[in-house]
Amino acid sequence: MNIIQCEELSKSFGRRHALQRITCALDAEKIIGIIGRNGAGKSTLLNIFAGYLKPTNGSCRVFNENPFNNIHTASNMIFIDDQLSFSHYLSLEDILKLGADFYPNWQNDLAYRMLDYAGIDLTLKHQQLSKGQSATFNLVYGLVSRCALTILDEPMNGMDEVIRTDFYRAILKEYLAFPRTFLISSHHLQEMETILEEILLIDEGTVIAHAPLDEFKEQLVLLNGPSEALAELLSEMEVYTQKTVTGTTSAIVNARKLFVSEEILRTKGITVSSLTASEVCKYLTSKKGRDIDAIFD
Amino acid sequence: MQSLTNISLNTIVKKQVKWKAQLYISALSSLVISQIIFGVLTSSTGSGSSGHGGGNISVQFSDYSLDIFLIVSVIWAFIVGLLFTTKAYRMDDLSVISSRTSSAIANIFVMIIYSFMAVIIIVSSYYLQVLGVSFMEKKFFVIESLFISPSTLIVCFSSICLFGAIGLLFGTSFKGPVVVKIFVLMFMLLALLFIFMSPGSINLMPFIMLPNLMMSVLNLLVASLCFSLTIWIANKSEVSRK
Repeated sequence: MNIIQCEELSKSFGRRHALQRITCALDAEKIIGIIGRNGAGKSTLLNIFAGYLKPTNGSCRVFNENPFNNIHTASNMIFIDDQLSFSHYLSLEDILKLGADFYPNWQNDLAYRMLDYAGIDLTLKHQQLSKGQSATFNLVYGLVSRCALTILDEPMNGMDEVIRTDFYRAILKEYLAFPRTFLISSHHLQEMETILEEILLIDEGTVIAHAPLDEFKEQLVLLNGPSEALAELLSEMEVYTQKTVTGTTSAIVNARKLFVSEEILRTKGITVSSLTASEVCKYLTSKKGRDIDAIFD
Repeated sequence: MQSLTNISLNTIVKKQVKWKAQLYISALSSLVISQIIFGVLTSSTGSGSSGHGGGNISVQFSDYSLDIFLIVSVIWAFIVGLLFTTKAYRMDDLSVISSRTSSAIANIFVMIIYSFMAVIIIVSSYYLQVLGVSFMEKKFFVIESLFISPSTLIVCFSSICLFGAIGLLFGTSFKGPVVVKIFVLMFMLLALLFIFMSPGSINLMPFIMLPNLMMSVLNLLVASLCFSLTIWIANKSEVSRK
Protein backbone atom coordinates (compact mmCIF):
# COMPACT_ATOMS: atom_id res chain seq x y z
CA MET A 1 0.00 0.00 0.00
CA ASN A 2 1.26 3.46 -0.89
CA ILE A 3 1.74 5.88 1.93
CA ILE A 4 2.86 8.75 -0.33
CA GLN A 5 1.86 9.50 -3.90
CA CYS A 6 3.14 12.38 -5.99
CA GLU A 7 1.88 13.30 -9.45
CA GLU A 8 3.77 15.81 -11.57
CA LEU A 9 4.81 17.59 -8.38
CA SER A 10 6.70 20.86 -8.87
CA LYS A 11 7.89 23.49 -6.43
CA SER A 12 9.40 26.84 -7.26
CA PHE A 13 10.81 29.56 -5.04
CA GLY A 14 10.60 32.65 -7.20
CA ARG A 15 12.53 31.81 -10.35
CA ARG A 16 14.31 28.83 -8.83
CA HIS A 17 12.75 25.48 -9.63
CA ALA A 18 13.49 23.29 -6.61
CA LEU A 19 11.38 20.34 -7.79
CA GLN A 20 10.26 19.60 -11.32
CA ARG A 21 7.42 17.23 -12.28
CA ILE A 22 8.13 14.56 -9.68
CA THR A 23 5.98 11.46 -9.94
CA CYS A 24 6.56 8.72 -7.40
CA ALA A 25 4.78 6.38 -5.04
CA LEU A 26 6.33 5.26 -1.75
CA ASP A 27 5.21 2.08 -0.01
CA ALA A 28 4.26 1.86 3.64
CA GLU A 29 6.48 0.14 6.20
CA LYS A 30 9.75 0.48 4.37
CA ILE A 31 13.02 2.22 5.12
CA ILE A 32 13.56 4.45 2.12
CA GLY A 33 16.65 6.51 1.44
CA ILE A 34 16.07 9.92 -0.14
CA ILE A 35 19.42 10.51 -1.77
CA GLY A 36 20.81 13.39 -3.76
CA ARG A 37 23.56 15.94 -3.84
CA ASN A 38 23.46 19.27 -2.03
CA GLY A 39 20.65 21.43 -3.39
CA ALA A 40 19.09 18.53 -5.30
CA GLY A 41 15.67 19.18 -3.73
CA LYS A 42 15.57 16.47 -1.04
CA SER A 43 14.63 18.76 1.84
CA THR A 44 12.03 20.58 -0.25
CA LEU A 45 10.40 17.25 -1.13
CA LEU A 46 10.45 16.14 2.52
CA ASN A 47 8.98 19.49 3.59
CA ILE A 48 6.13 18.95 1.14
CA PHE A 49 5.54 15.42 2.49
CA ALA A 50 5.47 16.89 6.00
CA GLY A 51 2.84 19.43 4.94
CA TYR A 52 5.04 22.45 5.58
CA LEU A 53 5.26 23.57 1.96
CA LYS A 54 2.61 23.70 -0.74
CA PRO A 55 3.44 22.37 -4.22
CA THR A 56 3.45 25.00 -6.96
CA ASN A 57 1.99 22.47 -9.40
CA GLY A 58 0.90 18.85 -9.32
CA SER A 59 -0.33 16.91 -6.35
CA CYS A 60 1.05 15.17 -3.29
CA ARG A 61 -0.97 12.82 -1.12
CA VAL A 62 0.19 11.41 2.21
CA PHE A 63 -2.07 8.83 3.91
CA ASN A 64 -4.35 9.53 0.95
CA GLU A 65 -4.85 13.17 1.94
CA ASN A 66 -3.34 16.49 0.96
CA PRO A 67 -0.67 16.91 3.66
CA PHE A 68 -0.48 20.72 3.53
CA ASN A 69 -1.45 22.10 6.94
CA ASN A 70 -3.35 18.88 7.62
CA ILE A 71 -3.73 17.87 11.27
CA HIS A 72 -4.35 14.20 10.37
CA THR A 73 -1.03 14.02 8.50
CA ALA A 74 0.70 15.94 11.30
CA SER A 75 -0.55 13.55 13.97
CA ASN A 76 0.86 10.54 12.10
CA MET A 77 4.13 12.09 11.00
CA ILE A 78 7.29 13.37 12.62
CA PHE A 79 9.94 15.40 10.83
CA ILE A 80 13.39 15.35 12.37
CA ASP A 81 16.22 17.54 11.15
CA ASP A 82 19.01 19.60 12.66
CA GLN A 83 16.71 22.60 12.97
CA LEU A 84 14.39 20.89 15.45
CA SER A 85 13.95 23.38 18.27
CA PHE A 86 12.30 23.53 21.65
CA SER A 87 11.53 26.32 24.06
CA HIS A 88 14.60 27.33 26.06
CA TYR A 89 12.52 27.01 29.24
CA LEU A 90 12.39 23.23 28.80
CA SER A 91 15.01 20.79 30.03
CA LEU A 92 15.46 17.60 28.01
CA GLU A 93 13.37 15.79 30.61
CA ASP A 94 10.57 18.32 30.12
CA ILE A 95 10.84 17.84 26.36
CA LEU A 96 10.27 14.12 26.83
CA LYS A 97 7.14 14.95 28.86
CA LEU A 98 6.04 17.28 26.06
CA GLY A 99 6.51 14.52 23.48
CA ALA A 100 4.67 12.01 25.66
CA ASP A 101 1.75 14.42 25.92
CA PHE A 102 1.42 14.88 22.17
CA TYR A 103 2.39 11.55 20.57
CA PRO A 104 0.05 8.65 21.36
CA ASN A 105 2.64 5.90 20.69
CA TRP A 106 5.40 7.61 22.67
CA GLN A 107 7.95 5.27 24.35
CA ASN A 108 9.25 7.13 27.38
CA ASP A 109 11.31 4.28 28.89
CA LEU A 110 13.02 3.65 25.60
CA ALA A 111 13.86 7.38 25.32
CA TYR A 112 15.46 7.33 28.78
CA ARG A 113 17.46 4.19 27.97
CA MET A 114 18.71 5.51 24.62
CA LEU A 115 19.69 8.90 26.02
CA ASP A 116 21.42 7.24 28.95
CA TYR A 117 23.33 5.07 26.47
CA ALA A 118 24.35 8.18 24.51
CA GLY A 119 25.47 9.82 27.77
CA ILE A 120 23.15 12.81 27.46
CA ASP A 121 22.30 14.60 30.70
CA LEU A 122 18.55 15.13 30.87
CA THR A 123 18.81 18.18 33.09
CA LEU A 124 20.40 20.14 30.23
CA LYS A 125 18.47 22.39 27.85
CA HIS A 126 18.29 21.50 24.16
CA GLN A 127 20.27 24.65 23.31
CA GLN A 128 23.12 23.55 25.62
CA LEU A 129 23.79 20.33 23.69
CA SER A 130 26.71 19.98 21.31
CA LYS A 131 25.92 19.48 17.61
CA GLY A 132 26.34 15.71 17.85
CA GLN A 133 24.38 15.44 21.09
CA SER A 134 21.61 17.57 19.65
CA ALA A 135 21.42 15.30 16.58
CA THR A 136 21.34 12.23 18.84
CA PHE A 137 18.58 13.69 21.00
CA ASN A 138 16.55 14.70 17.93
CA LEU A 139 16.87 11.21 16.49
CA VAL A 140 15.79 9.61 19.78
CA TYR A 141 12.83 12.03 19.88
CA GLY A 142 11.87 10.92 16.36
CA LEU A 143 12.27 7.22 17.08
CA VAL A 144 10.35 7.04 20.35
CA SER A 145 7.40 8.99 18.94
CA ARG A 146 6.70 5.94 16.75
CA CYS A 147 4.79 7.83 14.06
CA ALA A 148 3.53 5.97 10.99
CA LEU A 149 5.69 8.25 8.85
CA THR A 150 9.07 9.14 10.32
CA ILE A 151 11.02 11.62 8.22
CA LEU A 152 14.69 11.96 9.10
CA ASP A 153 16.45 14.74 7.19
CA GLU A 154 20.22 14.30 7.59
CA PRO A 155 19.68 12.81 11.07
CA MET A 156 23.32 11.86 11.69
CA ASN A 157 24.85 15.30 10.96
CA GLY A 158 27.44 16.08 13.61
CA MET A 159 27.42 12.63 15.25
CA ASP A 160 30.71 10.77 15.63
CA GLU A 161 31.20 7.51 13.75
CA VAL A 162 30.60 5.24 16.75
CA ILE A 163 27.28 6.80 17.67
CA ARG A 164 26.26 6.89 13.98
CA THR A 165 26.82 3.15 13.65
CA ASP A 166 24.88 2.53 16.88
CA PHE A 167 21.96 4.65 15.83
CA TYR A 168 21.64 3.09 12.35
CA ARG A 169 21.20 -0.11 14.32
CA ALA A 170 18.73 1.61 16.63
CA ILE A 171 16.66 2.71 13.61
CA LEU A 172 16.61 -0.87 12.33
CA LYS A 173 15.67 -2.29 15.75
CA GLU A 174 12.89 0.25 16.15
CA TYR A 175 11.63 -0.52 12.66
CA LEU A 176 11.50 -4.23 13.46
CA ALA A 177 9.79 -3.61 16.80
CA PHE A 178 7.24 -1.23 15.34
CA PRO A 179 7.15 -1.35 11.52
CA ARG A 180 6.53 2.04 9.96
CA THR A 181 7.74 4.12 7.04
CA PHE A 182 11.11 5.76 7.44
CA LEU A 183 12.24 8.35 4.92
CA ILE A 184 15.90 9.06 5.55
CA SER A 185 17.84 11.66 3.66
CA SER A 186 21.57 11.46 4.21
CA HIS A 187 24.96 12.01 2.67
CA HIS A 188 26.28 8.92 4.46
CA LEU A 189 24.77 6.45 2.00
CA GLN A 190 27.62 3.98 2.38
CA GLU A 191 26.95 3.64 6.12
CA MET A 192 23.20 3.52 5.58
CA GLU A 193 23.11 0.90 2.84
CA THR A 194 22.66 -1.96 5.28
CA ILE A 195 19.34 -0.68 6.58
CA LEU A 196 17.78 0.70 3.39
CA GLU A 197 15.21 -1.23 1.40
CA GLU A 198 14.63 1.31 -1.34
CA ILE A 199 16.35 4.35 -2.78
CA LEU A 200 14.78 7.46 -4.28
CA LEU A 201 17.53 9.36 -6.05
CA ILE A 202 16.90 13.02 -6.76
CA ASP A 203 19.03 15.24 -8.95
CA GLU A 204 18.33 18.84 -9.96
CA GLY A 205 14.77 18.60 -8.71
CA THR A 206 13.79 15.44 -10.56
CA VAL A 207 13.67 11.78 -9.59
CA ILE A 208 16.33 9.98 -11.60
CA ALA A 209 16.00 6.59 -9.95
CA HIS A 210 13.57 4.87 -7.64
CA ALA A 211 14.20 1.19 -6.99
CA PRO A 212 14.85 -1.46 -4.35
CA LEU A 213 18.45 -1.30 -3.13
CA ASP A 214 19.71 -4.41 -5.00
CA GLU A 215 18.07 -3.37 -8.25
CA PHE A 216 19.48 0.13 -7.79
CA LYS A 217 23.03 -1.15 -7.36
CA GLU A 218 22.76 -3.24 -10.52
CA GLN A 219 22.13 -0.17 -12.69
CA LEU A 220 25.82 0.49 -13.26
CA VAL A 221 28.81 -1.86 -13.54
CA LEU A 222 32.55 -1.40 -13.66
CA LEU A 223 34.32 -2.84 -16.72
CA ASN A 224 38.03 -3.45 -16.46
CA GLY A 225 40.26 -4.78 -19.25
CA PRO A 226 42.74 -4.11 -22.06
CA SER A 227 42.13 -0.76 -23.72
CA GLU A 228 41.92 -2.20 -27.28
CA ALA A 229 39.36 -4.80 -26.23
CA LEU A 230 37.19 -2.22 -24.43
CA ALA A 231 37.44 0.60 -26.99
CA GLU A 232 34.91 -0.87 -29.44
CA LEU A 233 32.49 -1.86 -26.69
CA LEU A 234 32.59 1.55 -25.00
CA SER A 235 32.02 3.41 -28.27
CA GLU A 236 28.48 2.01 -28.37
CA MET A 237 27.65 2.60 -24.71
CA GLU A 238 26.86 5.37 -22.28
CA VAL A 239 30.06 5.74 -20.28
CA TYR A 240 29.83 7.51 -16.91
CA THR A 241 33.55 7.64 -16.26
CA GLN A 242 36.63 6.16 -17.86
CA LYS A 243 40.28 5.91 -16.88
CA THR A 244 43.20 4.40 -18.80
CA VAL A 245 46.47 3.48 -17.10
CA THR A 246 49.26 1.65 -19.00
CA GLY A 247 47.02 -0.04 -21.55
CA THR A 248 44.31 -1.03 -19.07
CA THR A 249 40.97 0.78 -19.10
CA SER A 250 38.39 0.99 -16.31
CA ALA A 251 34.94 2.30 -17.19
CA ILE A 252 31.60 2.67 -15.43
CA VAL A 253 28.72 1.88 -17.79
CA ASN A 254 24.97 1.40 -17.73
CA ALA A 255 24.42 -2.31 -17.02
CA ARG A 256 21.07 -2.33 -18.84
CA LYS A 257 22.77 -1.40 -22.08
CA LEU A 258 25.46 -4.02 -21.78
CA PHE A 259 24.19 -6.65 -24.18
CA VAL A 260 27.35 -8.78 -24.26
CA SER A 261 27.42 -11.69 -21.82
CA GLU A 262 29.97 -11.82 -19.02
CA GLU A 263 31.49 -15.02 -20.47
CA ILE A 264 32.26 -13.42 -23.85
CA LEU A 265 33.74 -10.39 -22.07
CA ARG A 266 35.90 -12.69 -19.94
CA THR A 267 37.32 -14.32 -23.05
CA LYS A 268 38.47 -10.82 -24.13
CA GLY A 269 40.11 -10.26 -20.75
CA ILE A 270 37.37 -7.88 -19.54
CA THR A 271 36.05 -8.25 -15.99
CA VAL A 272 32.67 -6.99 -14.79
CA SER A 273 32.39 -5.78 -11.18
CA SER A 274 29.42 -4.46 -9.27
CA LEU A 275 29.37 -1.09 -7.49
CA THR A 276 28.09 -0.01 -4.10
CA ALA A 277 24.86 2.03 -3.94
CA SER A 278 26.95 5.02 -2.90
CA GLU A 279 29.13 4.72 -6.03
CA VAL A 280 26.06 4.32 -8.26
CA CYS A 281 24.60 7.50 -6.76
CA LYS A 282 27.86 9.33 -7.27
CA TYR A 283 28.12 8.45 -10.96
CA LEU A 284 24.42 8.96 -11.73
CA THR A 285 24.46 12.46 -10.29
CA SER A 286 27.92 13.67 -11.29
CA LYS A 287 28.01 16.24 -14.05
CA LYS A 288 29.70 15.04 -17.18
CA GLY A 289 32.88 16.82 -18.14
CA ARG A 290 33.27 18.35 -14.68
CA ASP A 291 36.54 17.66 -12.99
CA ILE A 292 37.88 19.36 -9.85
CA ASP A 293 41.44 18.90 -11.16
CA ALA A 294 40.61 21.09 -14.16
CA ILE A 295 40.16 24.08 -11.81
CA PHE A 296 43.77 23.86 -10.67
CA ASP A 297 45.28 23.19 -14.10
CA MET B 1 0.11 -0.98 7.72
CA GLN B 2 0.06 0.18 11.32
CA SER B 3 -3.21 1.83 12.27
CA LEU B 4 -3.18 5.60 11.98
CA THR B 5 -3.99 7.78 14.95
CA ASN B 6 -6.94 10.11 14.70
CA ILE B 7 -6.45 13.13 16.90
CA SER B 8 -8.92 15.96 16.52
CA LEU B 9 -7.92 19.59 15.99
CA ASN B 10 -9.69 20.31 19.26
CA THR B 11 -7.43 17.98 21.25
CA ILE B 12 -4.26 19.34 19.65
CA VAL B 13 -5.30 22.95 20.31
CA LYS B 14 -6.03 22.11 23.97
CA LYS B 15 -2.59 20.52 24.38
CA GLN B 16 -0.88 23.43 22.62
CA VAL B 17 -2.69 25.99 24.77
CA LYS B 18 -1.71 24.09 27.93
CA TRP B 19 1.99 24.08 26.99
CA LYS B 20 2.13 27.54 25.42
CA ALA B 21 0.39 29.19 28.39
CA GLN B 22 3.11 27.76 30.66
CA LEU B 23 6.05 28.38 28.35
CA TYR B 24 5.23 31.95 27.35
CA ILE B 25 4.72 32.99 30.99
CA SER B 26 7.76 35.28 30.79
CA ALA B 27 5.57 37.60 28.71
CA LEU B 28 3.47 38.22 31.81
CA SER B 29 6.51 38.86 34.00
CA SER B 30 7.63 41.51 31.50
CA LEU B 31 4.21 43.14 31.92
CA VAL B 32 4.55 43.10 35.71
CA ILE B 33 7.99 44.73 35.46
CA SER B 34 6.81 47.41 33.04
CA GLN B 35 3.77 48.14 35.24
CA ILE B 36 6.03 48.57 38.28
CA ILE B 37 8.32 50.93 36.34
CA PHE B 38 5.42 53.04 35.08
CA GLY B 39 3.75 52.86 38.50
CA VAL B 40 6.86 54.34 40.13
CA LEU B 41 7.39 56.91 37.37
CA THR B 42 3.85 58.21 37.66
CA SER B 43 3.60 57.93 41.46
CA SER B 44 3.92 61.69 41.97
CA THR B 45 1.63 62.84 39.18
CA GLY B 46 -0.77 59.96 38.61
CA SER B 47 -2.24 59.63 35.15
CA GLY B 48 -2.99 63.35 35.08
CA SER B 49 -2.45 66.37 37.31
CA SER B 50 -3.49 69.95 37.54
CA GLY B 51 -2.64 72.81 39.86
CA HIS B 52 -4.51 75.85 41.17
CA GLY B 53 -3.14 78.70 43.18
CA GLY B 54 -4.43 81.87 44.81
CA GLY B 55 -2.69 84.03 47.40
CA ASN B 56 -0.69 81.81 49.73
CA ILE B 57 -2.63 78.71 48.81
CA SER B 58 -1.55 76.37 46.12
CA VAL B 59 -3.58 73.21 45.39
CA GLN B 60 -2.19 70.36 43.35
CA PHE B 61 -4.56 67.69 42.09
CA SER B 62 -3.20 64.32 40.97
CA ASP B 63 -5.59 61.90 39.36
CA TYR B 64 -4.76 58.25 39.90
CA SER B 65 -6.55 55.92 37.50
CA LEU B 66 -6.04 52.78 35.44
CA ASP B 67 -5.30 54.77 32.26
CA ILE B 68 -1.52 54.67 32.30
CA PHE B 69 -1.49 50.97 33.24
CA LEU B 70 -3.95 50.21 30.46
CA ILE B 71 -1.85 52.09 27.89
CA VAL B 72 1.25 50.12 28.93
CA SER B 73 -0.76 46.90 28.74
CA VAL B 74 -2.13 47.46 25.25
CA ILE B 75 1.37 48.21 23.94
CA TRP B 76 2.59 45.09 25.73
CA ALA B 77 -0.25 43.03 24.21
CA PHE B 78 0.62 44.23 20.69
CA ILE B 79 4.30 43.32 21.15
CA VAL B 80 3.44 39.93 22.68
CA GLY B 81 1.06 39.24 19.79
CA LEU B 82 3.91 40.00 17.38
CA LEU B 83 6.36 37.85 19.36
CA PHE B 84 4.04 34.83 19.26
CA THR B 85 4.33 34.84 15.48
CA THR B 86 8.14 35.10 15.29
CA LYS B 87 10.21 32.34 13.75
CA ALA B 88 11.50 30.93 17.06
CA TYR B 89 7.97 30.33 18.34
CA ARG B 90 6.80 28.91 15.01
CA MET B 91 9.76 26.52 14.89
CA ASP B 92 8.94 25.27 18.40
CA ASP B 93 5.42 24.47 17.21
CA LEU B 94 6.83 22.19 14.50
CA SER B 95 8.47 19.96 17.12
CA VAL B 96 5.13 18.57 18.23
CA ILE B 97 1.91 17.56 16.48
CA SER B 98 0.56 20.81 15.08
CA SER B 99 -0.65 22.57 11.99
CA ARG B 100 -0.49 26.28 11.25
CA THR B 101 -4.22 26.44 12.00
CA SER B 102 -3.89 24.69 15.38
CA SER B 103 -0.94 26.90 16.34
CA ALA B 104 -2.80 30.09 15.35
CA ILE B 105 -5.90 29.07 17.35
CA ALA B 106 -3.72 28.11 20.34
CA ASN B 107 -1.93 31.49 20.17
CA ILE B 108 -5.29 33.24 20.15
CA PHE B 109 -6.45 31.36 23.25
CA VAL B 110 -3.18 32.08 25.03
CA MET B 111 -3.58 35.77 24.08
CA ILE B 112 -7.10 35.78 25.54
CA ILE B 113 -5.92 34.08 28.76
CA TYR B 114 -3.01 36.50 29.05
CA SER B 115 -5.32 39.49 28.44
CA PHE B 116 -7.44 38.31 31.34
CA MET B 117 -4.35 37.97 33.54
CA ALA B 118 -3.11 41.36 32.35
CA VAL B 119 -6.33 42.92 33.68
CA ILE B 120 -5.63 41.37 37.08
CA ILE B 121 -2.05 42.72 36.90
CA ILE B 122 -3.10 46.26 35.99
CA VAL B 123 -5.74 46.40 38.72
CA SER B 124 -3.18 45.12 41.24
CA SER B 125 -0.64 47.67 39.99
CA TYR B 126 -3.21 50.44 40.36
CA TYR B 127 -4.08 49.54 43.95
CA LEU B 128 -0.40 49.10 44.80
CA GLN B 129 0.36 52.53 43.36
CA VAL B 130 -2.42 54.19 45.31
CA LEU B 131 -1.40 52.38 48.51
CA GLY B 132 2.25 53.23 47.96
CA VAL B 133 1.53 56.90 47.32
CA SER B 134 -0.78 57.15 50.34
CA PHE B 135 1.87 55.67 52.63
CA MET B 136 4.92 57.38 51.19
CA GLU B 137 3.68 60.86 50.43
CA LYS B 138 0.85 61.17 52.95
CA LYS B 139 -1.35 62.93 50.42
CA PHE B 140 -5.02 63.57 50.88
CA PHE B 141 -7.12 61.19 48.85
CA VAL B 142 -10.56 61.64 47.44
CA ILE B 143 -11.71 58.15 46.60
CA GLU B 144 -14.53 58.18 44.09
CA SER B 145 -15.04 54.49 44.33
CA LEU B 146 -12.96 51.87 46.11
CA PHE B 147 -13.90 49.17 43.66
CA ILE B 148 -13.29 49.36 39.95
CA SER B 149 -16.56 48.71 38.15
CA PRO B 150 -16.87 45.47 36.15
CA SER B 151 -17.65 47.49 33.02
CA THR B 152 -14.25 49.23 33.33
CA LEU B 153 -12.58 45.85 33.73
CA ILE B 154 -14.34 44.57 30.61
CA VAL B 155 -13.15 47.63 28.66
CA CYS B 156 -9.61 46.91 29.85
CA PHE B 157 -9.87 43.26 28.90
CA SER B 158 -11.36 43.96 25.47
CA SER B 159 -8.78 46.68 24.72
CA ILE B 160 -5.83 44.42 25.63
CA CYS B 161 -7.40 41.60 23.62
CA LEU B 162 -7.86 43.91 20.64
CA PHE B 163 -4.25 45.05 20.59
CA GLY B 164 -3.04 41.48 21.10
CA ALA B 165 -5.22 40.42 18.17
CA ILE B 166 -3.78 43.22 16.00
CA GLY B 167 -0.26 42.08 16.96
CA LEU B 168 -1.05 38.48 16.06
CA LEU B 169 -2.65 39.50 12.76
CA PHE B 170 0.21 41.82 11.87
CA GLY B 171 2.84 39.19 12.65
CA THR B 172 1.00 36.40 10.86
CA SER B 173 0.46 38.58 7.78
CA PHE B 174 4.18 38.93 7.22
CA LYS B 175 4.62 35.16 7.35
CA GLY B 176 1.68 34.53 5.06
CA PRO B 177 1.35 34.26 1.28
CA VAL B 178 2.98 36.99 -0.85
CA VAL B 179 -0.43 38.44 -1.80
CA VAL B 180 -1.23 39.05 1.88
CA LYS B 181 2.18 40.67 2.49
CA ILE B 182 1.68 43.02 -0.47
CA PHE B 183 -1.85 43.85 0.69
CA VAL B 184 -0.68 44.67 4.24
CA LEU B 185 2.19 46.81 2.95
CA MET B 186 -0.17 48.71 0.64
CA PHE B 187 -2.65 49.17 3.49
CA MET B 188 0.07 50.52 5.79
CA LEU B 189 1.37 52.84 3.10
CA LEU B 190 -2.11 54.23 2.36
CA ALA B 191 -2.85 54.61 6.09
CA LEU B 192 0.41 56.55 6.63
CA LEU B 193 -0.30 58.74 3.59
CA PHE B 194 -3.80 59.44 4.88
CA ILE B 195 -2.49 60.35 8.35
CA PHE B 196 0.14 62.75 6.94
CA MET B 197 -2.17 64.30 4.32
CA SER B 198 -5.04 65.04 6.66
CA PRO B 199 -4.10 64.57 10.30
CA GLY B 200 -7.18 66.44 11.50
CA SER B 201 -9.59 63.97 9.97
CA ILE B 202 -8.67 61.27 12.51
CA ASN B 203 -10.71 61.87 15.60
CA LEU B 204 -10.85 59.14 18.19
CA MET B 205 -12.86 61.17 20.69
CA PRO B 206 -16.29 59.78 19.68
CA PHE B 207 -14.88 56.29 20.20
CA ILE B 208 -13.28 57.13 23.56
CA MET B 209 -16.46 58.80 24.76
CA LEU B 210 -18.56 55.73 24.02
CA PRO B 211 -20.20 54.03 27.03
CA ASN B 212 -18.04 51.24 28.47
CA LEU B 213 -20.27 48.45 27.26
CA MET B 214 -20.45 49.79 23.69
CA MET B 215 -16.69 50.26 23.59
CA SER B 216 -16.13 46.72 24.88
CA VAL B 217 -18.45 45.20 22.29
CA LEU B 218 -16.76 47.18 19.52
CA ASN B 219 -13.30 46.15 20.75
CA LEU B 220 -14.28 42.49 20.94
CA LEU B 221 -15.88 42.60 17.48
CA VAL B 222 -12.74 44.02 15.89
CA ALA B 223 -10.58 41.58 17.89
CA SER B 224 -12.71 38.66 16.63
CA LEU B 225 -12.27 39.90 13.08
CA CYS B 226 -8.48 40.07 13.58
CA PHE B 227 -8.45 36.59 15.13
CA SER B 228 -10.45 35.17 12.21
CA LEU B 229 -8.13 36.79 9.68
CA THR B 230 -5.12 35.43 11.61
CA ILE B 231 -6.48 31.87 11.35
CA TRP B 232 -7.34 32.35 7.68
CA ILE B 233 -3.83 33.59 6.80
CA ALA B 234 -2.12 30.93 8.98
CA ASN B 235 -4.15 28.28 7.16
CA LYS B 236 -2.59 29.40 3.88
CA SER B 237 0.95 29.93 5.17
CA GLU B 238 3.91 27.79 4.33
CA VAL B 239 6.56 27.12 6.89
CA SER B 240 10.07 25.80 6.63
CA ARG B 241 12.74 25.19 9.22
CA LYS B 242 15.45 26.19 6.75
